[in-house]
Amino acid sequence: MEGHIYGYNLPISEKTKVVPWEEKVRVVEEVKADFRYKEYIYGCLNCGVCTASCPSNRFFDYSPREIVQRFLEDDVEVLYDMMHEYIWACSQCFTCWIRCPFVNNPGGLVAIMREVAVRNAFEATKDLLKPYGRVLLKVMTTGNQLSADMLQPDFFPDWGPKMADNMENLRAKRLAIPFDVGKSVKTAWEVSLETAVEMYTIWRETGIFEMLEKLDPNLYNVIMDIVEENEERYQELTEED
Amino acid sequence: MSSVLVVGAGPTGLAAARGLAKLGIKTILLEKDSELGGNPIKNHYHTLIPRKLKPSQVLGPYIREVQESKNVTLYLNTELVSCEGEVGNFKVGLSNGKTETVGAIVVATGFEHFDPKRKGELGYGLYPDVITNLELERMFSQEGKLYRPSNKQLPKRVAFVFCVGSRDRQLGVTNVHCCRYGCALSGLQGSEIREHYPDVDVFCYYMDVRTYGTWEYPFYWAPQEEYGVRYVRGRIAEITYSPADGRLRVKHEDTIVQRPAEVPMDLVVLVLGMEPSEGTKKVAKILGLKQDKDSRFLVPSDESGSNIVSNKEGIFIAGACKGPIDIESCLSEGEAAALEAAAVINTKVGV
Repeated sequence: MEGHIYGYNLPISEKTKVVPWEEKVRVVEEVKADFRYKEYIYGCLNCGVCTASCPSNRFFDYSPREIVQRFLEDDVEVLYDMMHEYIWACSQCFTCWIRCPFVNNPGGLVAIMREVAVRNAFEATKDLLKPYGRVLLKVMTTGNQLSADMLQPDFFPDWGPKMADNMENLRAKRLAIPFDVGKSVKTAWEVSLETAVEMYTIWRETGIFEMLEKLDPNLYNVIMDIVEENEERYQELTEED
Repeated sequence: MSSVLVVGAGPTGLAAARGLAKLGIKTILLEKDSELGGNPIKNHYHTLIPRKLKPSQVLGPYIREVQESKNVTLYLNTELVSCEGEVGNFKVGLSNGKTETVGAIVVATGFEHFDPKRKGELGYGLYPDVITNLELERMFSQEGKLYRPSNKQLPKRVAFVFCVGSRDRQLGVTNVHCCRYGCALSGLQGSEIREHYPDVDVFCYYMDVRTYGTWEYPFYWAPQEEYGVRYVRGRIAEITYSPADGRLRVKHEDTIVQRPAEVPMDLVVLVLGMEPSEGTKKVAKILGLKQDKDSRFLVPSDESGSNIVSNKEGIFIAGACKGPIDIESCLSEGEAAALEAAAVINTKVGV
């Protein structure tokens, strides 16, 4: 049935209202077609243990019980709308899962919804990923999440005035660490070219590059330059052998 | 005429043995404990639902009749260890070394209360003021007063936590069934508290209140209307302790007003579910009885419309070995099993 089955007791955003009904159905069906879906939702007693256990529920307008109920009601309008903002308050701790008497996994449902939101280039995912561009660049090119050179004096004013000093002579400081952490300041640990190239293969085969291209074309171009360069270097090295 | 073996001397087994004895049938009654009466006597239940009678009032007459009957051979501290043969001629081995020949068997091995330590988040065994509804019954029946175990003082706020060990797949698919008695008993216990201590606030945390049939008024409406017990919808997610005020905190979502809450309590009562007893599981193995694959409760034969008839001819199953049940129904089932057993030995042996 088109629209919000149970009436608009939850405010539906304009972003959702303007989307054609068929498109909303397609997106929600994509979530439900995920191979994990049937293992993440059984029935529901509406007992509220998930929501009572949920750390995010204490601070945000987010209730795991609401997620489960909306799926059981097949409330397409609300589910689609939740993908803009609502589901991003979940901290993916899965306490809901380990407490639910049915062993439903609301956090898992959220994980699927997020993946579908990313795959479908929801505006929300673009906004959410923006502050993580540097991290994403590092992860996708080196497999490292953070590295010493990512610390920059003007980035973290709340870390106090001494941080600026800490960020000088990074390489020397890193070498001074009394156990082996590798010499690089660009990565947290040494990453072999072979490992990196294998990782790029995974990104490519699983559609991660495609997804990124839709979400952030600029970042995609920067990352692809590095990827292609490394792949070429690897190609040359293996040819020499 | 051959005799009948009754395994277990709780309400069901007592009713079966008493019925058989009245029909003039020689009956062997086995009980693994040292006294008759099963859980209500062993655990010192205070008041029984639904007639609000004492265990001695309900079970006393059964115990006396069984003890006084010349047709009943009573073996206390004795368990069934083996069984051979078939209907009309079962050779049963007992843990006291005896072997008996019986024509039919009534299984009345019952249930045991859920161990709440398996739900660690509820803090039982960790916080002294988290008690079970069994312990509350004992407090009433043995000590005659309500108190907080931590300081022996009267609690100001008491919470009942429904469905502990019931309707819960987290425990490994074994406890998805409803305990059937918990809602009604909590209504009764809550009313008893409010009746004797009108200043104590009592809260029942429920998901559904299953006071089925005629139990609805006395154990759900009356607790609210006559005694002022309060009902809040939501399952308790966890119980913690605040050193600041020495009180417990129960955490839940009020699922009707959709509000998360963490509420101070002085005494928390866990409403325990039922599981098949060790005896039920053992006897099922010895006699080859069909069990539910998840809960391990015994299940009647599909061949018969009667829920007393087991998958083995001449063996009858009655009472809480088949799942949660109230005491009055146990008595009726025991009597029904006695009838079936009597019919079997008459047809098999009398001809």
